Order: sequence, then structure tokens, then C-alpha cells
Amino acid sequence: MTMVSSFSSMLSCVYVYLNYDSHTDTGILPARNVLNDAENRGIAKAKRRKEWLLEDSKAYQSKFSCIDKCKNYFMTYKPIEHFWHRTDRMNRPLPTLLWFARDRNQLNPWLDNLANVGLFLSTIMLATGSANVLLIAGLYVIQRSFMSVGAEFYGYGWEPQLAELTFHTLFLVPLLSMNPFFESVPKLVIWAIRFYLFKIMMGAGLIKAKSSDVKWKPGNLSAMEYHYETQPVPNGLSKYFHKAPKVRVLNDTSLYVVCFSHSLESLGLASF
Amino acid sequence: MVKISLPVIIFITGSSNAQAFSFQREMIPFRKMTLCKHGDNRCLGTHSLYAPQRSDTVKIPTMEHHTEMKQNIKSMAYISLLLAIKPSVATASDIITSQTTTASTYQLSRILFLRLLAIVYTAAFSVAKFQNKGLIGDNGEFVQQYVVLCLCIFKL
Repeated sequence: MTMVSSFSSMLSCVYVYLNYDSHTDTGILPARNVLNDAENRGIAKAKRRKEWLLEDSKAYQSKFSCIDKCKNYFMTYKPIEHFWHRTDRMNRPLPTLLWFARDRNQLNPWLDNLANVGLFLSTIMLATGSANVLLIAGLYVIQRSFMSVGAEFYGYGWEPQLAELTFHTLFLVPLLSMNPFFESVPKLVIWAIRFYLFKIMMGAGLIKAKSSDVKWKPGNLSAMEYHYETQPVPNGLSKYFHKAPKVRVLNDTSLYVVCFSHSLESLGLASF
Repeated sequence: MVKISLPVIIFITGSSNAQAFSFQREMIPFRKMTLCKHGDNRCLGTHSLYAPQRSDTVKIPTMEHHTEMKQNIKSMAYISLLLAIKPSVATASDIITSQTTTASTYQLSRILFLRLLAIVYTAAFSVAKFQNKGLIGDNGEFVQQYVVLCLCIFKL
């Protein structure tokens, strides 16, 4: 199942990235804008927090406990201000290595070099079939860096999924050793990954049952006919599927199977 | 029915990954057989005073197929529990006393998993290397419009 999901996510990555096909030097949504916006939000937040602290300290100076003081000091600490108050539009922290770029108008070398480092690390992992926590953490941080500033281009479902899987992998590999046969794999991580796969497949099934589309409703389960007829990424066999006679693949009884088929599939294969 | 379905389940689950690493581990011999003077372990001869020596213990070559079968039986029982099928092949005592089988270590699975993850990352970063500059690089097509929009928002 890991194999299948990895391949599918890889293919989807390639397909979607190639669809944009913009090899020009002009960025459509520059990372600089995202970073600037987040910085403005961070400044505003920090300002508000400091004002609030000032007012509170005037009124209730004696009532602050030690923990409160520590917490307040911690929240006004510079790195926290950088990585916690600087948020995106949904008020989520924006963890990215691009904060360390001195000149925000010249981010191209940063983007290039981060991708190079990521390529280097993943090539090591591909060649040796082993990894350690440092390597995986590097991949995770680089991927998160792109994801944070990528706006719409990194806003698809597989990016957080890849990040989540990489986070699980952190606990799957030894800390420093690059020995592929290093001890055994923790059972908890295996089950976490199984649950992760189950979650994805279950979600993929349930969203079909939940959709307001009539083609997924009982009595009219004709979604697959449209799917075979109009394939978004056609291949060599697509024309045969297009011309194939309309056979009702799904029926009313199989509606209930549809939303669980994915999860059963993952249960069957996840024990790999 | 069970006999047909179990090999399929084993094939799907690929439970024999522990055996692939038996060369990495010091194999526990399947059984140490003590032989009598005549070389027969079922000997009913007259040498009742014979005490088995250490040199008499014969290390039988590891029966990998046997171990694998035992391992498969173990996984069968495990999966049949999930599927609520009563195993007809292995008895409970077989499963409990099968100490010769090595526990599944998932090392081969981890190698495969890491390789596949690496393929994903290689694809992702190679694409990012060529397209990031175009998509989120410095010289944006909509920079001017975006700046104007931002100004409007902040003024409001």
C-alpha cells in the first residue's frame, strides 16, 4: 500500500507540475509577497501583544504568576515572533527557511539551492535505501519551506500528505546510523502509517458519498461512465475507454461498498 | 475455501520479509538432535548408560522453507483473526511454541518505503528546481497588481 500510494502521489506530483509548464523566469505568485504579508501580520500581532502586556502589567502587576511572566517573555522572544506571529491568511504559522534570506527581492538562489539540497538528500536516500533522522528532517524542512510560500501551487492535498508521511518517517529511521538493517521498525509507526493510509482512502470514499453530485446518488450512479468518457490526463488506452459501451459499473447496492472499498483496499494491502 | 484463500492472503500481505534477512541474523537452529552411538535417535539399544555429549549434538541445517511455512502460519492466524476465519491449518499450540521463527522486523519494507519516498522527493524537487523560479520566483507577472491590491487592503 505504501508502494501504491507513493507511486500515485509521485505521478500526481509530476502530472500537476507539468501541467503548469511555466519554465519562464517570471514567477506568477512570487514567494516574496507571501513572506511580506506574513511579516506585516507578525508585526501587527507582536505590537498588539506588547500593548496588551503593557496594559495588563499596569493593572495587575502583582497578580502575574511566574509562569505567566515566563510565557509572556517567551511569546515576545524574537524567534517566536518570527516563527509564530508571522502567519498566513488562515492565521497558521508559516515555517519556512526563506525567512533567513537577507534580500527578499532575490529569492531565486534560495529556491534553487533548497531544491538542490533536497535533490541531493533524496538521491542519497534513493541510492542507499536508508536514511537517518537528520536527512529526513532536512527533506521535511525543505518541503515545508516550499509549501509555506508556494501559495496556490503548493496548496494541493498531496503536499500536506507528503509532509505528514515524512513526519511519520522521522520515527521510522535511526537517529544517525545509515545502516538499512538498523534494528527493527517500531510497531507504533507502522500502525500510524496504516492509519494514515486508511484515513486517506476512507476520506476518498466518503467524499463521494457526501458530495451533492447527483451522479453519486442512489438511483443514478453514473459517475464512472463520465469518468471513462472524459479522462483529464489521457493515455494510450483512453480512446478505447472513451468508445467503450456504457456499462453501469455501480448500482444501488454498491453505493455502500464504494465508500468502504478504498478503506478495505488499504486494510488488505497496508499489512505489507 | 480457507486453504485456497490463505495463500492469497499471504501473497497480498507478503509476510515472509523476516526470512529475507535471516542472513543478517545469527540463525537459531531449528532443532538440536541428540544422537546415540548408533546414530539413531529412536534407538532402543542396550547402551542405556550412554550420556549424550556436546559433540553429539548435530546442527541440522536451517530449514528455511520450514521456518517460512511456520511464519506464514503465524501470519495466517493473525489475518484470519481479523477476517474471523478459524485457521484449520495451524493449531494454537503450533503457533505458541513456534519459537524458531524470527519476529517480523519490517526492515525490507522500510528499505522499500524509503526508496519509494525518495523517488517521490526526487521527482518533486527536480520539478521544483526547474519551475519554482517561474512560479514563485522574484520577477512575477502579477507583482504590480498584487502590490496595488495589498495597498488597498492595508489602507482599508
